[in-house]
Amino acid sequence: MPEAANGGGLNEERAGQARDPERAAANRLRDTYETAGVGVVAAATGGGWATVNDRLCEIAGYARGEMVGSDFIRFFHPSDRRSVGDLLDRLLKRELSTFSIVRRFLRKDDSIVWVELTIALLRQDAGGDNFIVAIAHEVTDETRLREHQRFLIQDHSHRTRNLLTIVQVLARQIAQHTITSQDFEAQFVSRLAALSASHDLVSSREWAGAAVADIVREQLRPFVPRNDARIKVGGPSVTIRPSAVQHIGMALHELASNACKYGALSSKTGNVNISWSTSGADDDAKFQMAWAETGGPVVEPPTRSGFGQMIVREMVAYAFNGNVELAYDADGVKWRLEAPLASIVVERPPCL
Amino acid sequence: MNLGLRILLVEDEALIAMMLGDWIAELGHVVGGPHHHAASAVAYLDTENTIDAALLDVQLADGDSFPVADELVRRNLPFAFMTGLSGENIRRRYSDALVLTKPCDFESVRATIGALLDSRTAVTSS
Repeated sequence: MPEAANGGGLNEERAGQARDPERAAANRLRDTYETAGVGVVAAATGGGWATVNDRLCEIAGYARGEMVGSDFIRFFHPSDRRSVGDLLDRLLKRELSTFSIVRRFLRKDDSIVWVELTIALLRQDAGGDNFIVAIAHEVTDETRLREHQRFLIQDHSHRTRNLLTIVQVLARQIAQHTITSQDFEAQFVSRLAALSASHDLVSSREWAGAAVADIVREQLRPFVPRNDARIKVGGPSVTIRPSAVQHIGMALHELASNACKYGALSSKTGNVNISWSTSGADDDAKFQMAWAETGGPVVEPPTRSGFGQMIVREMVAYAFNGNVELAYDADGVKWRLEAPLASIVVERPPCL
Repeated sequence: MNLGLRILLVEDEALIAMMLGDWIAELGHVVGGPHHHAASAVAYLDTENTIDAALLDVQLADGDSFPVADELVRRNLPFAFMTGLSGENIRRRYSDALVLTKPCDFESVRATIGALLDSRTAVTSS
């Protein structure tokens, strides 16, 4: 096997050796070794010889000549070299007879591949060196997928906790603004439904955000029939991030609820115009959204500041680091948000 | 009795920030912030020399609040983290830090702020 450092021409000597059973067995073994689909490296512990198969060269991104004779450790990612080196030392000291690890190779082109390695110390027959065999199986896709799953689980846990805390705040705030428990329940349940609609929107798209038009449609659904002629909706296609879906959703819910009770949507002649736009570029890019009621009953400004106002004004302004105007014009409520686009839109493309 | 002290609040979720702000005010203290970003909180620490303690949400929209914590450590100011996660990575990095689990209630916030201000008193009097 020492001569196998050069792996070319596997079949060349085949004809003359076919009658020699030992040679034939060695050839079969070598063919298996070269076509096995897993990377294989074998090296004498004394450093006398080493062999690598084609698949290993392919995984590590080096030519056979560059791999043979060089320190195996240097094909690992610098951050993984120490841990692999420690394990190899223990193997050589016979503290271990074999081990399996998942580590990174740093390829010649500087790309990274994840490799599952099983490394064993084998004893040669009398006189020969002991040797180390490493079987390498590339697991880059599996490892990335697992990392992505771990990220999703953690992210999901974070979102769930946040959502629970928001429910807590809702309950507390609504309790402060209602007198009877029936009143509390009605208000609490309708806000939970609004949160739930936002949650459905973002979870159905795996937290990649949602389109403003879809948020408007979903938040209006409990209040007005589909294609209600009193409502005009228009704006460019903008996909906004999950937290923004929740905040914009809550604000739209409050505005729609108020409009149904006291504003334009409480009368047949009222109208609501919901619009949004973007402007500017780069750091100055802005997102604008407006809710404008007209034609309903004459509006009187509320005498005290309620929870709904807190949501549409303070919460939205804080959430987006933006400006909110809320005006109780006689012909209808007007709400307008302007915020940095960067605080609204999806901040990163969905992973993978 | 510790009253009228300034508590820096770093929390990116608007409703939670408002609730905590209400609670801090109810306890007789003043809110510094609230801030959604670590960078703005650190800048605030640079200009305001009057912070007595801090409550930090761990996971912010633009990363974690560790830069703020590091700055607070540097200034020897007491702080507590608030997190919905296990807090394992916090304990590894800031072994002494108090950790409030979200969702947190008024009593636990009150107890935590009390403990922070007591530790501050202990530090300044020793």
